[in-house]
Amino acid sequence: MAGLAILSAFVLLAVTAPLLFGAPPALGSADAPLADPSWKYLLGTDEVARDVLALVAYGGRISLVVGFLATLISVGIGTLVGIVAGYNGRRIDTFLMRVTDFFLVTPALVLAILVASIVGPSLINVIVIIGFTSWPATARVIRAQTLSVKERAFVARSRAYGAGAPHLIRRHILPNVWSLIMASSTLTVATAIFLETTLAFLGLADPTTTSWGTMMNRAFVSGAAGLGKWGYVFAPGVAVSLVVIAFTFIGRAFERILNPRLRGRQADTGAIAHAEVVVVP
Amino acid sequence: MSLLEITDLAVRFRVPGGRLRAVDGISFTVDSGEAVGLVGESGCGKTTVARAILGRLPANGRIVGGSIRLAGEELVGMPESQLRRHRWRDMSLVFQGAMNALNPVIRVGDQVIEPILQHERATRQQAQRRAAELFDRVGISPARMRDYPHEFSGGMRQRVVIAMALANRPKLLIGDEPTTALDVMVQAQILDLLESLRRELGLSLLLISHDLSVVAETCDQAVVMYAGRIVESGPIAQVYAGPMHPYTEKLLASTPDVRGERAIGTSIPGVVPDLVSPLAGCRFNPRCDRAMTACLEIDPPELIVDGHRVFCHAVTHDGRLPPPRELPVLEHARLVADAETQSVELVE
Amino acid sequence: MSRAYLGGKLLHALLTISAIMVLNFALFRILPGDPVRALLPRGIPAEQVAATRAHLGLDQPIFPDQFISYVAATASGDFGYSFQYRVPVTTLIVERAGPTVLLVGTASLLAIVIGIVIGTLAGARPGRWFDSVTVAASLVLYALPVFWLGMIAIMIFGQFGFPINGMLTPGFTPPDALAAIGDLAAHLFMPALVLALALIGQYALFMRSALVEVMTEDYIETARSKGLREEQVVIRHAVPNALLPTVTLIGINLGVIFAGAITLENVFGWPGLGSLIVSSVASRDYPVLQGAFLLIAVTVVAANLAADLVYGLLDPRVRG
Repeated sequence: MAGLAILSAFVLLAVTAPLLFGAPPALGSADAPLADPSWKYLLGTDEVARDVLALVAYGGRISLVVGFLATLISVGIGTLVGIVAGYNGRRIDTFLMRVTDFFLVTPALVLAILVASIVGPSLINVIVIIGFTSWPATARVIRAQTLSVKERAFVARSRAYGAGAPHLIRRHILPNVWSLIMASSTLTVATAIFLETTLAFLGLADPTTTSWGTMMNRAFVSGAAGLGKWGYVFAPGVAVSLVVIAFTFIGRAFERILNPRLRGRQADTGAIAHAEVVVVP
Repeated sequence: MSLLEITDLAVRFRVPGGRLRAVDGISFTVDSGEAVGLVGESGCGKTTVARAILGRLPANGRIVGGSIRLAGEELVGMPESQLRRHRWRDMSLVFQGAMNALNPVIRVGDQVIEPILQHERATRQQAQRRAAELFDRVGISPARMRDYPHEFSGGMRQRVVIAMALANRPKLLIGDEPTTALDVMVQAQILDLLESLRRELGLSLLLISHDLSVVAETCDQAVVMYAGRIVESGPIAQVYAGPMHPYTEKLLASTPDVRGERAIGTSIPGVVPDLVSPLAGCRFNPRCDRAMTACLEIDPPELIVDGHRVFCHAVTHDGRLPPPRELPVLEHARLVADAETQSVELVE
Repeated sequence: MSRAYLGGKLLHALLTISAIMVLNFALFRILPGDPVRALLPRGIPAEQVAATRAHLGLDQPIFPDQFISYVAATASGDFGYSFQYRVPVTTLIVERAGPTVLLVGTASLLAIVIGIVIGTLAGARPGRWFDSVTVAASLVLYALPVFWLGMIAIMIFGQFGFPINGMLTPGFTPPDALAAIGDLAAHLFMPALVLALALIGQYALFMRSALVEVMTEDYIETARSKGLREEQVVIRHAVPNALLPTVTLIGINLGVIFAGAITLENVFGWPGLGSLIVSSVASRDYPVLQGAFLLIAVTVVAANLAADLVYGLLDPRVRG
């Protein structure tokens, strides 16, 4: 469970950032811009002379928060759609599935870019956009599970006793779907963070807050790559990658635990298929 | 010399619980042109025997003793590369569940041709011609060679598999439950087919089945297995008319006879034993209604009467079994049931 | 392939495209934010704003007037004019589509071929070191942001003199076709490599899983019993079956590839649709964005359709 370890490290870093680094790095607080890593500044400084390591820590807060909130929205919508579709079946199901498929097929990033360019860059917008473009994967999975639970004997029995929809959903479907929601969430967080990073890199996120994506955007724009500024270029990318890997591992572990109980394909394809239908920048 | 000689074969599997002796010292032979039926319930080791002969045991299985001689050549211990050359040429296998034995994306004709081209120096045309003949022999129009497996029914697919098994004109054909999962009518057709092929081609047949009726129809000899050991073997007629082992007797009794009385067949109480830590003595003893003290400790000795072989303590010298006693546990249960219904006091 | 299968897929694709068109239209009219105001600099007198609005046809009722004119325009290939470049959007898109196709095509080809081969090698012997390394590497590659990889590539390969910007060396008149191709290839090298790397992991992992699952089927055991060598079993019997789902993956992946291409073009200054989109976002060039979105979305739908059709052709169970 290396995933959990990595993740915890990052969360810890994000939470304790103020303690470790004092106030958020302000402009020109360090000595020189685009400095190479040194003992004082472990990862060097950025183009307006801020400590890169501190930026990574603070950036983590933004990236993680955005990821989590967006996932909340995404999984929320996805679960709702999935359960409604799976439970009601037939026409509602077909209609909802068409909608889901549509969103699956439409390239999410392009859609996100489009919407972001219209509504303008801000943290809330980004969160909402990501949430609204990543729900299909969850919806599909939840729907499948709902369908299979619906067919089981105890549901039929409850129905025979006159149980209504809310009761059935609450007592029978939700508990069985819960673990799937967890598994799906972890994978969604990974893609949400990815998406946020990409949008930020393209300049569509809130310019006043620094997330890892914004850092990369600035690194690129300031030409740090061409200048060979390893610390600045590497740090945010490594951070994002590690967090995504962490979530992916956790998600895969979840899927492996759940797999015997589901009728699904292997854990590997499951994780990849789930994540790929969202976005890979 | 027999075509297939199996002597003291032992196969062991490594399982989470330990080592499982799936086959524990069995010996039998199949002569040229003979059909031998290997009978027994699930898990008795019969499929393992088939796989061992072909050298295709799963990764956790190994032959740990005995010998398998095919046309005089020793197969146990033969390196894989050599075994591969024997496979399908001298012996071939018709699998259990042959429905899925065919690759869904390759035409059936090509699948039958494949082993021919693999093992022999034939041109594609020659191979195709032979495949067409085989299709014809098994009762499928050669025009269907270009079709895919999903276009055939279960019974037809089985025929294709048989044709495939005969592609290299093997001397020995092993059929592992070749008719399970087919309905009775198709079953009969397939068995007839196997029989006629045997006569025409001089094939030797090793038919593995849990179904006695299947074996009775096609085979000359029967070999009855239980829990990894042979309990009885001999000419079909003798074994069926006068079984010398309590297990065989029970097996035969549990098949309802259409012409017999209207009675529900007796089943054999109890379950197949744990082969990881098998009991000493005769493995059938917990379920046997002729069990004696000797059965609990000493391996049953071999007795041969007129080519009819049996491993049992209870059988007499001239091959007769004593009358069955009630199993102690069943007797007690009956007493209890009687007592309850008649409210009679139990007297121990 | 049955008519029903083909017809069903086509219908589905058409429906999706229609839905995309509606979405495209709706997005700009419904979302908050007034495009006209965002377009013009501050302090412009109100009549000017109104005039612009009228000029762009945005003062008419959304439904049915605007919608009908939108549909009509789209059907005739008229996407309006780019605010930024003042040329028809269609011209702009056509001009920029070529480089993107080149980039995406090259990268896909590389990724598909190499990915499938690696996946096959890994899946044929699951659990061995090659397999574990492949799975681990694929997961890691998958987690790395493509554009970040691009920046790293620049840092590394830039040192070796690989051009890091644009598609052709500016002001360089190639003496002959070979030199021209060479120049193009030198520029194409890094972006294509990075994009391919991002995708290889996916294909490898997917092919591997598919293969592992196929190898548990009965007909593989049959093939082995027939005396075939292990390589023959894998290549002749397992791989064709495992390729089937992988083909559909290729189609599905196109949407993903475009996403990667967009950011990557930005990093490498590659003059394709991706960088067009990015620059249009910055300058709020909505007509271009609309046109590009439609094009990309339709392409992805078409690619999915193609993948489905190809699958139908390959799998005899669907064909017959």
